[in-house]
Amino acid sequence: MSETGIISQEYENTAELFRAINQSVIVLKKKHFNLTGAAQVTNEDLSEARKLLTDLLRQLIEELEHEPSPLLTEAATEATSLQVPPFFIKRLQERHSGEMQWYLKDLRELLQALEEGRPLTGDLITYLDELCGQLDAETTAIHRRLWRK
Amino acid sequence: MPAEFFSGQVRLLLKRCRTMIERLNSIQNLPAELHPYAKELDTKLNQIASAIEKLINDPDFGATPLLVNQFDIYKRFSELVNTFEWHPLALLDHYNERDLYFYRLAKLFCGQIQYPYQPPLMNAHSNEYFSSLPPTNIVSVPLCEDKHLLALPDFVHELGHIVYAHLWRKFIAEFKPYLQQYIADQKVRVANQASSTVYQDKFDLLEQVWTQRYVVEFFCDIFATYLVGPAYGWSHLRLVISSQSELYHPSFGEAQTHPADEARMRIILATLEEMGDDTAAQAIKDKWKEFTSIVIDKPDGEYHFCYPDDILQRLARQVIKECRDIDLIPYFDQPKEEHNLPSLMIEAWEQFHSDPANYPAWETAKTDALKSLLS
Repeated sequence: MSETGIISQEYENTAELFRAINQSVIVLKKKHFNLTGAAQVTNEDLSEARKLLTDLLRQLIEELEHEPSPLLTEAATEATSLQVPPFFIKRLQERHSGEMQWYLKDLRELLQALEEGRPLTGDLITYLDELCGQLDAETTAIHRRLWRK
Repeated sequence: MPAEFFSGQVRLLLKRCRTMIERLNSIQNLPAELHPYAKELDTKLNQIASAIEKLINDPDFGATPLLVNQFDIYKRFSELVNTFEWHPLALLDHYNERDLYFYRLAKLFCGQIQYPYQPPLMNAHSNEYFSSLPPTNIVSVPLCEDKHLLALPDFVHELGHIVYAHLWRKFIAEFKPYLQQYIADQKVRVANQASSTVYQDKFDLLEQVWTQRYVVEFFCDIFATYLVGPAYGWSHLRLVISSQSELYHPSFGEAQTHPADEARMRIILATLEEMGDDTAAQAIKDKWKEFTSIVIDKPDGEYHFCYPDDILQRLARQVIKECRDIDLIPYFDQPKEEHNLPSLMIEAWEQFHSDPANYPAWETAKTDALKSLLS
């Protein structure tokens, strides 16, 4: 059997997460930079964007901290709406291997600001952009494997 | 990247999308049974075109702080457009009789197994053996398969990829805790060894590659075994003999798209045993042993970490349950009728074993009969 089926599944899962995360980042950046479209961003949009990013960051921090995962119950796992592709975690591990503690500190700082609904600083926006950029790079890499073998 | 260049490229992508819609709607003589697929493709392309227009009409389109995010959106649209242009549109544009024959064969098979989704479009000129592209609901088969039967179980494996795309969230959520527990237990076991850090990293990789890749491929193997039984086991043996010499790779610390062929055969056998077909499992196991005794490749010292029996058996049980939950008919409940495809795939392998010299003629008669039925 060819690799197409499996790689296209990887691509779909990663692209789907990317679209959701990128859209959330756009919503926050429209507000942060007070762009023309910021007036159309509702409180509900903002709240959804923060929740999605918070869910993502919690999962990423847990995975990157390498803490032994307790046996998750089926219900608890199913309740998690975000499915973070394992190879995206791997990419982050490799990219930040020499500075993981610093990177985790940045992610925790970002998570805390989002959880508390605080306005994001320029640094925090940069962290979000970097995260989104890595997810885009992972999605693009899979797509290239799919069609430019 | 200058905003003008970027916005120009986005507008060109919109033009390409509209050209594709025009091309799709100008296709002549498409068989009536494919009209729903053409309509669905038209809907998808129009949705993409609308989404691109929405991006262009965003009051912040091209705004410097959002340029990187919008560029990435454009890339995703571009990937989608390419996928639909290169696959379903190209297929429908060049549709021929063999594509239609395989579509009807797939539709017949789907009806006989109580497949709960729309049957796939079939592309009968694959350039990479059997393959599938779940987002487009297309399965590709090699050009001459209409004259053969023994590899057809691999079509069923590809159908499994499409089913997995429907079920994967729930499926992986249920399976992952057991895999994580296994990995955690193994990490504890090797924690005091000198090369512990290396092992921990390799176990991390094992969990990642299992969750993202191997589980999908194993799902499809079990799915196919559930539906066509020993025919899939024999088909796997046939494929391995014709194309593979490294039966025990990927091993520990390696990551590829497909798990090792040895493990795939083990999960096929586990599925047959789980379904109570010990006789068929034993027959395939005996032939597999004969084959592995003559190949040079042997498992390395860490192979046993990668595909433990317990995990494979748990996965087999879970997929079988999933198949039952969506009311798919297992192979042993299929009627032994002439045009029942799951039974025919099994019968073809039985015929091959019992009379290999005369099998080609038998196969030709059967494929001719199928052609008459489906024309």
